[in-house]
Amino acid sequence: MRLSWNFIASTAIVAVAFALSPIGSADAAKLDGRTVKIGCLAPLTGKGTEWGQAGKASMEIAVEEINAKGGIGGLPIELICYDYQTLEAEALKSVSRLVERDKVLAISGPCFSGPFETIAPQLERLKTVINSYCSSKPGLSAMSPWAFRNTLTSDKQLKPVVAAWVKEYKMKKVVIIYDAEDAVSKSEGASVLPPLFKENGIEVLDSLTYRTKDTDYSAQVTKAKSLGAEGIGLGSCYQNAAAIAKEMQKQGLNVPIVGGACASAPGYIDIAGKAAEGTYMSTAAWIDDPRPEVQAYLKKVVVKLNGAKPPYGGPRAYDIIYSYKYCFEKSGVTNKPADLDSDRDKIRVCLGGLKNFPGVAGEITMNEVRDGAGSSAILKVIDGKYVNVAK
Amino acid sequence: MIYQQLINGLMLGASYSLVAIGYTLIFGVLNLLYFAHGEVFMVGAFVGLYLVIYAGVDIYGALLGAMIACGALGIVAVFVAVRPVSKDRPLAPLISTIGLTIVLQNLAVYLIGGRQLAFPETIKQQLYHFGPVTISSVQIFILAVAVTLMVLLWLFIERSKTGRAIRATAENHETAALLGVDVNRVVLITFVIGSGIAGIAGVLDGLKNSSISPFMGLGAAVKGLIVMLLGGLGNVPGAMVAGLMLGMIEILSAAYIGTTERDFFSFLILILILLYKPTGLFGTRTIDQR
Repeated sequence: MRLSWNFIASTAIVAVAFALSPIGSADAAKLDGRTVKIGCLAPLTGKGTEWGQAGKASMEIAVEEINAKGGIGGLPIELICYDYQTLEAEALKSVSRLVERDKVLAISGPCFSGPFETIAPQLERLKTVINSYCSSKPGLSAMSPWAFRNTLTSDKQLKPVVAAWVKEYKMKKVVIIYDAEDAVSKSEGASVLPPLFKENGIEVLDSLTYRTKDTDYSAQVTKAKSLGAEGIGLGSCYQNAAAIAKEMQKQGLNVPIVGGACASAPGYIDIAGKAAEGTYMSTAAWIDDPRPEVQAYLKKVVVKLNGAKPPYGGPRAYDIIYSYKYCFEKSGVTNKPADLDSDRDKIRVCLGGLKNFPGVAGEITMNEVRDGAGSSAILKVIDGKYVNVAK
Repeated sequence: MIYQQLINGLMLGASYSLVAIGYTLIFGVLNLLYFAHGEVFMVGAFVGLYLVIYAGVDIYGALLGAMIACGALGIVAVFVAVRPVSKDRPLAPLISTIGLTIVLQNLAVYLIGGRQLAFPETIKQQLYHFGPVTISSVQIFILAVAVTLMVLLWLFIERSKTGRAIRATAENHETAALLGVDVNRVVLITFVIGSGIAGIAGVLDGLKNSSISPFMGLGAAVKGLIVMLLGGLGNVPGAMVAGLMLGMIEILSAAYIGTTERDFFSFLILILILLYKPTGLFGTRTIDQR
């Protein structure tokens, strides 16, 4: 067989790139013990169910893949998961259990900014890394050197989305509707969207709130309509966002919607149906990205989720396990019980220096406050699907 | 805006009334807070959803199926959580129905998962404009079903022989039994009717909110309880009117005072009524409470 120069050159480039990549350069020294323990915090019930199920399934896929290839340092990963029911107090209890009883090296999760905000101040005492796969309220990782997020904060995610939304729909006045109880939704509605609208020359007519468990939004929609809103900015998770979109449709308020990452779960389109058309959303991972690694992951996770597609927390959770593998191998973790504290600290240092780590959600670089400054997308609902309209 | 908000209040209130009717009917005949009522409402919504998705029935089929399934669930509840429990201990049936609540909710989470599911659009969405008010075909349908059901139930309770037996049992079990009323049968019928209405209310709630979840029962149960107390324990017409009142109060307080304060007003009103008119606005229909 005759090999072309092009083939040899491209093979050589791929080999060199792989050798220089973070995964390729890891030092897989033999570890002590029987398993490598990673903690997982996933809300499998309550408002975060869709996110938690997707996160847990994605972590399991990554663990299965890694274990099938020999694990880390010759040991299989043991993923220890707790359902914290999307409750702050339960999340805190679960973290303590993972750190003190299960003695995990690092934790993937929690999902949602509320639990993250509750746990972060306790990390000085627990001295174990947490890394959230779906939390985007600005400023939370700065609360502790042990607190990491594999996601962009919502201010960074929403900035290009709002600009694109305004450019397309050319509205002049909007009403913001947000969840006054959910941490990231409140942050988006009260602190992130108002300055972004101002930046784009949009007048905010009013900011209306609701509570997470509310199911009726007719009063807010009627008020927004009576104020003459030309657009609606949502600080909301997908269940509430979809119900608001449906209520707008019922009351004939046919104006465009823009929402943050918590709203951009596939469930938004499932529930809102045609009322979702034209909505702009931010996200920290585009699940329909045609890149082969994303599609390979998607194929596996959809099977685990009984046919449902994951929200952005899924691919981010998958990437966290691989970034932990990299750090366990790269930073000289021994996995000896006596070295647990120093192992945890080595992981913290390694994770803080993560640069251009290749993930299915895009490259991950931890910024100075330990937020994943990776890629994001501008999603628009077109014909019942999220389409990335970022140029 | 006020007219549209009144329509919103009417819609919300109608859904509260339907849940509260079942509550108050059962309380009337048994003097029992039937905690599992909210979960029966949730089961009704899921029966309706699956009938639409898998059996391809229309909304009328979904309502009928949910009513029958929840009526049957009412019979199961009587035989599992009410009859076997000692009547000498007043708290025992309360605890057993709380147990049934937990079982039903956990069973739903186990079988369906904890996620919110979309309720299909079984009615073509059309908007009708009456001056400043916009009302959709879905809202008209929900309101029509709720009002028809309430009127039929009121006629049944007031005019039929079984209705009279239910009222007699609510007044006093022993006297009703002495007058030839089969009290056990009346309790069973009341559970079937109350649960059947909860099933219909669940489907209508799915239709109204476009989604359902295994956790929807708790919120409905709490609001149903407030309406029952507001209207007077065991007072069916009272529950109908009180539901509409609560819906109006919530919507108007959300529209003109603050959207996050609506629950504050619901509970404030409840506390005031318990303090100044413990028998509810329209008076209790159970003899022990008079």
